[in-house]
Amino acid sequence: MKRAILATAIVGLGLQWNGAARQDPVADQAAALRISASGDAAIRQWDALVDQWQGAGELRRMRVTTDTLLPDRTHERLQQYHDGVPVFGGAVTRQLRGPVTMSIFGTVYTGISLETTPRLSPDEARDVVERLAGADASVDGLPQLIVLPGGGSGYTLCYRATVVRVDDELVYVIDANTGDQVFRYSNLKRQASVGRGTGVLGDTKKISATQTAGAFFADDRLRPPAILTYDMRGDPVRTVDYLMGRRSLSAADIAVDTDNDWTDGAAVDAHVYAGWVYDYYFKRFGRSGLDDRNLPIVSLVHPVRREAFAILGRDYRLFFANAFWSSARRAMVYGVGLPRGTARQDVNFVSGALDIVAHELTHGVTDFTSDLVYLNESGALNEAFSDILGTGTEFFYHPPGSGFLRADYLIGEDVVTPGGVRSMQFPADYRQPDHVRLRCCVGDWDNDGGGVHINSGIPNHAFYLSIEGGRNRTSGLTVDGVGSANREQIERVFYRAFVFMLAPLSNFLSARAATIRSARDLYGAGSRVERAVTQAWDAVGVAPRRTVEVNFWPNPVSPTPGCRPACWDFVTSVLTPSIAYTVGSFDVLFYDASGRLTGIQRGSAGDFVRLFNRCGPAATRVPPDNEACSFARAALGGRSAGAIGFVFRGTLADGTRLDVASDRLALRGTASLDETHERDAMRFAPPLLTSVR
Amino acid sequence: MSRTCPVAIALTMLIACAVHAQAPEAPEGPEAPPAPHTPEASPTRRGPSGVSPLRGYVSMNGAYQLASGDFASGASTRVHAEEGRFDTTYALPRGPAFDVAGGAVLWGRLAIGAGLSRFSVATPGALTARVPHPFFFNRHRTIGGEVAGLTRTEQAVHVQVRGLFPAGERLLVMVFGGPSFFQVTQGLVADYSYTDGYPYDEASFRSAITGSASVSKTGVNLGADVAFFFTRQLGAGGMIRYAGATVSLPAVGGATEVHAGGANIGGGLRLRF
Repeated sequence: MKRAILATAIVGLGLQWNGAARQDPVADQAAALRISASGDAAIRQWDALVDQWQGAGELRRMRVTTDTLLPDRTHERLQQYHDGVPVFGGAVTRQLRGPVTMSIFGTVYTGISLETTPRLSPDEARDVVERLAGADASVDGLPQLIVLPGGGSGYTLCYRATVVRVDDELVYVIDANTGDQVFRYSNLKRQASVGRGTGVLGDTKKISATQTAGAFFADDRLRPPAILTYDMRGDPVRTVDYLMGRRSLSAADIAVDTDNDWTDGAAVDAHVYAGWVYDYYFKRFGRSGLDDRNLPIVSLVHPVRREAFAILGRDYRLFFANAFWSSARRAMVYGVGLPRGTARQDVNFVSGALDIVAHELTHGVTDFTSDLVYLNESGALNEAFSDILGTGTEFFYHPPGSGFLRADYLIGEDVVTPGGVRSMQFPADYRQPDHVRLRCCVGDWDNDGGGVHINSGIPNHAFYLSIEGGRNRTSGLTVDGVGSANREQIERVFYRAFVFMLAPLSNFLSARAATIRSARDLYGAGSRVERAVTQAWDAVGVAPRRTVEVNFWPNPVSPTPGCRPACWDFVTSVLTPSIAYTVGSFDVLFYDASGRLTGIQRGSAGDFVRLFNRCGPAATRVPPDNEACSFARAALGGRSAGAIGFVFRGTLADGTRLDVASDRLALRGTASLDETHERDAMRFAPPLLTSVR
Repeated sequence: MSRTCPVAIALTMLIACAVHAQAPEAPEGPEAPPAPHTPEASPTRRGPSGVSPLRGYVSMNGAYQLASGDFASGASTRVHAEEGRFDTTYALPRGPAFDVAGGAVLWGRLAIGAGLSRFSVATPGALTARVPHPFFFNRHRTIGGEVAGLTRTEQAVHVQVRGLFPAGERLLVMVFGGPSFFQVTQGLVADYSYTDGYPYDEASFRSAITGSASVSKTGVNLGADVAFFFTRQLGAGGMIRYAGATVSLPAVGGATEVHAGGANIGGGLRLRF
């Protein structure tokens, strides 16, 4: 009998290509026929097969229901069996109008050749499940034998048992021969319930919870994705175990309230704001969550207790004054803040800031889209995009203004007081560059990943200027912004560019090009929006270069602490115009404090590849609008001060030979060292440039 | 009570008028000739022409209730941790009614009788509701819809004192008044359902959950009837009547005051005995 499906599988697979009946190619692994027949021809063919399988006993009618919306329709539900054992997930529904079949949907599994006599009896299987479920659970009835698609031979004979616990109802599936757990899932259907919550700042808001067994859980069932907020109850070990994949979270870990009038501000804000951010993305950009496929949004609150800062603050600093997105777990973790007086600024529960919640969740969006590498300029763009949409979210929900629960261009100002952690309007006030000339530490990976939280000030400020307009303090250039009433236009421009156009190693120039392109696409060439975006990037100095440039950071450079004799660590960048530049060789020129050339170190193309490997794949060819950088250590042969310079010899992509000489980078000294070394000039060794490990 | 006083006065006047009409004409002076005795002057006595005195009457009318107007009910509902509200405005149109009355002459031109009337009409409702948003306070969604299937039924028993004023052999004018006992049944919206979906910024009316309230109340009636008799007993006539009461219907959000009855005009069969 079972051979009916086996024999007709070929026919079924043939139907896959006839257009009217679609099949899921993913199901091929499990030898599944996915039926979706609503066209006449497909219905006729599948109908005949279903009748044949039904006649062979491989499909059995489970029930027939009357259509409540179309009075003349009935729906027949058929379960697949193999040798009298139900096949898990093998089912077909057939819509009938009288005797006429109107549609057929479902899945049937083919090629099942499984012995259906289990080694474990149902009673033995029940014992196994009881052991797996633990003492506080009871198995409901006898386990049912099923054929489970999957496993080594394609199908596994299993028992399925329902386990009832006080707080849950679980379905266990175990191997009917070995007793091993194959999988389990919660089968508890929960009821959505909207409650009232008080946030970190004492504001009240609605919270979408789920009522189960008389309690309310931070489990949002009203939005398309699951939005779950877990209360780690101040246990850093548990939190770390989860983040490191050593344990999973269960329903018992979800934040809970007894009367749906929530007072745990950290949990309320994390949960509510996660939903708001989802809504913002949906309404503003039509995006369905982090992955655009309604990936569950998981937040963790109370990873430690704030009072434990004195003891745990060093080892678990992230759990106090920070929030982060864990790409590995795809979860948010919100810090608990700091005890008053332990830092220059007060830090409250971090989830209390809507812009921070949106910022962190936007990292999730970036993970699923541009996947900007969290280093150097791409990392700064990653950070900036989170700030941009964090601010966009804040303006979407809060009225503009200053103070708590007001929208502005500060980041985190609601929980880090006074002033927040960054300003898109005045980056320099927070030690961020507002112009690419002041760019920090790209290539120095140990310094904030090449300045990801520092250089984000540059694109942040470009975003701000695009909307509000104004004058860049460093360049003095003025931007005609689109105006705050049109902020949505700039948000869309940046969203579209960052989500659809940027790649993992995009840099500021890529972002400039992408946002201008995006503005042009959305609002037209020469539009006010395009003009505002272009002017903004110009104002922050992100504009195509005219020729190859060489930059240093820092400039001038101070001696590296602990280095004897004196040495200096610095970044050298070779930046290209809109044409590639291939380095053939280079010279490093060393000067003493009086400006006298004291040595030359010649470098080959190979040396260039070895040294200039910090801003992208190491190569002699530097792509257009790109850079190659080194994080190098210079020694002046024992001298305590001097300068260094570079000459690069190479060829532009159009064949033009181009030698580029850098400015001199002053290598600062200290007075005491200078005196020592000047007295003992005989101890000087040759000057040298090496890479910093 | 305030409605009863004018009616009482009217009834008193009616009775006085009827009694006066029934009483023998008093001579105005010693030289005045005796008043001719006409059948019209005393319908309860057989006169010289042989007309039988009127002992009773029956009238059956198809009527039309002229009163119309709107009334409303509403209630607060708690949805998504916030107060919402729905209100329904019901349109009470004019409509047909049926009326039957009968009575017997008590004395002279004074009769007492009772009438029964029934009025039933559809009272379509227009519902508006402010539905709280599931995610935000003070961001209600406004929905609205028409509610069909609601009816008003008014049944009344009218106790009437009638004054009978024949005008010739064939014409009989009656004026009447008295208390009316109303039973009002009104279909009301008890709740509503709506549909919405993510992001829940809009909702739409799906259906209303309706019930009916029924109350009794005493009111008044007052009117006039003119009948033309084709034969000695059978005729046709028309009437105009006001019969009304203010009733308080128990509704979900609290009692709703509605006015029952109103002015009716009608016509139909007349019988006299």
